[in-house]
Amino acid sequence: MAGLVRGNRYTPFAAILLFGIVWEIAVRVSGINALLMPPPSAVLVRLVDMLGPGRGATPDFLLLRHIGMTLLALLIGFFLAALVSSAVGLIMGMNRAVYAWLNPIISMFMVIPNIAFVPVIILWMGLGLETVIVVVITGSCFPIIYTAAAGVQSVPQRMIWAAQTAGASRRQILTTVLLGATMPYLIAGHKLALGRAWRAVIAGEIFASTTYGVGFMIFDARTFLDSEAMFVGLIVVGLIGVTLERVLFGFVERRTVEKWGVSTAKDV
Amino acid sequence: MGNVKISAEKVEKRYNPGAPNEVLAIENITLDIQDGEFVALLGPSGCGKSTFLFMVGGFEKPTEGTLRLNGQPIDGPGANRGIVFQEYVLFPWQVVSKNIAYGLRIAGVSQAEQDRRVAELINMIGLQGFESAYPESLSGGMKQRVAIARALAYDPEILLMDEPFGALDAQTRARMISDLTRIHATTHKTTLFVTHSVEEAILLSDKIALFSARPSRIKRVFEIDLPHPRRVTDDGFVTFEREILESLEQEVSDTLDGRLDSAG
Ligand SMILES: Nc1ncnc2c1ncn2[C@@H]1O[C@H](COP(=O)(O)OP(=O)(O)OP(=O)(O)O)[C@@H](O)[C@H]1O
Ligand SMILES: [Mg+2]
Repeated sequence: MAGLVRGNRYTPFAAILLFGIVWEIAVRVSGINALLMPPPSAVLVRLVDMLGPGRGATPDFLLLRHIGMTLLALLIGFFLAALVSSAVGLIMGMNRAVYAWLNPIISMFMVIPNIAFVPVIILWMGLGLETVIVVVITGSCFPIIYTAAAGVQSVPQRMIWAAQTAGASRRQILTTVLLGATMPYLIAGHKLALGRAWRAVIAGEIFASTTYGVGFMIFDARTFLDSEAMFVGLIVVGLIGVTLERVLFGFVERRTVEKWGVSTAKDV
Repeated sequence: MGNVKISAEKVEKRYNPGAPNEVLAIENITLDIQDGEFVALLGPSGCGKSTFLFMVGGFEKPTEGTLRLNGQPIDGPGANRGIVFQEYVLFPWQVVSKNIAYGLRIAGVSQAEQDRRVAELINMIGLQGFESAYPESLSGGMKQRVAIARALAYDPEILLMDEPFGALDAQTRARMISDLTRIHATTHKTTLFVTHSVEEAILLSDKIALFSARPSRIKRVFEIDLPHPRRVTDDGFVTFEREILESLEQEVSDTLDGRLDSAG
């Protein structure tokens, strides 16, 4: 019990449970209009309900359809961004001139909140899945480019010399040294980018989705004053977001940087 | 034996020539190194020992003079040389055996031959059982031995070592010195060994090139004709040590005088 209070591996669950209890009590004691602020118990019931068969105009497994669509947009967008941005970042890191010319532009794009791109993208592409995917790409490409370039530049000169003296060509240096040495940065960049991508896909769906998607669900529920569905959406966004960042990348990190004993570039 | 392997003729090295931060690291070095010779480069800190080693490695270019390897001017790095850095610079994402096999993979050697060669080297450096360990889990001395094995794996003609034992504790160092003596006795590779330590230099080398303070020249070359294995208590060792230390002290005090003169 003392360990739980000071913080052990069960503390996160206890903390969330406690938060739910406080929320429940606050709603009930204050007598606030449940239409505006539903108690968590009602939200949970609704969540389970939305996972099951539909009723009337509501299709079966409604929540899973929303989640599926969101994950689809996320994965396509993130995958495309990862592929292109890693390449751009590596090239930037390897070539001084490319770095000198691209870095100012990327630095500027980095500080623009991703949501500010959304109206422009909608103007160009209209509403729909493609638009959401592009929003995900703009949201996740810059951290990857930036960290990949920084990673290449952090490779010790002598590590490259060690490879050159073993007879490695430029190409071999890229594949046998730069990629490995840059891996901690690439992983940190992709982790950061996936977090950004998750925020981006929800934001993108709020504005640009017309059928399914957790972001769309939250925004759509507003029209029906359906605050329960909105809170279901928020909880789902939080749960999946944490899972992606912690669990997925925890898995990758345990298999790479932690095994190698090298620190991840956290200060990006 | 007997052929000149590496020959430096009036080699000068300036860093950032023409720029305000120009450094004349090496003023004029003329030095011949014979095939199979173990040569220590000894000298005060900052006198350009690493710079000279990196020029032989082909990573840096002389600004004046010529530096030849097998009679040809050195033009870039290549697999006929193996290098060991003071900071080891192993590949942290690869296990020990992969690190050692690096040059063999680059050369496209078959997997069976790689395995054979790695097993042989693992034996030589006494790291049996650590083949699948990541470098991070090794001690400094073990890492240094892996670095030496990595440099030897593809059988270069020349071994370049930059203060490889600088960061090791006394016991590990003693062990590494006897290991390296043994390795040199079996492989007869021409070796350039940069060090601060007079003791290391005498224990290991056939020849010691004493650098003057920056901007450096070769102050003196000592031929160490003592039989192996050498001990710090041998008469011959003590004689050489005294002679070299005197020469070094002279160098250091000359430098200080020079500084006082220019300051005064
Ligand atoms: N890349 C570089 N750019 C500019 N100056 C350099 C560079 N590398 C070395 N120098 C300078 O050249 C001089 C010789 O350096 P070098 O590292 O070769 O000396 P060293 O004899 O190896 O010293 P130490 O024993 O401390 O390792 C020093 O004054 C150093 O500051
Ligand atoms: Mg040095």
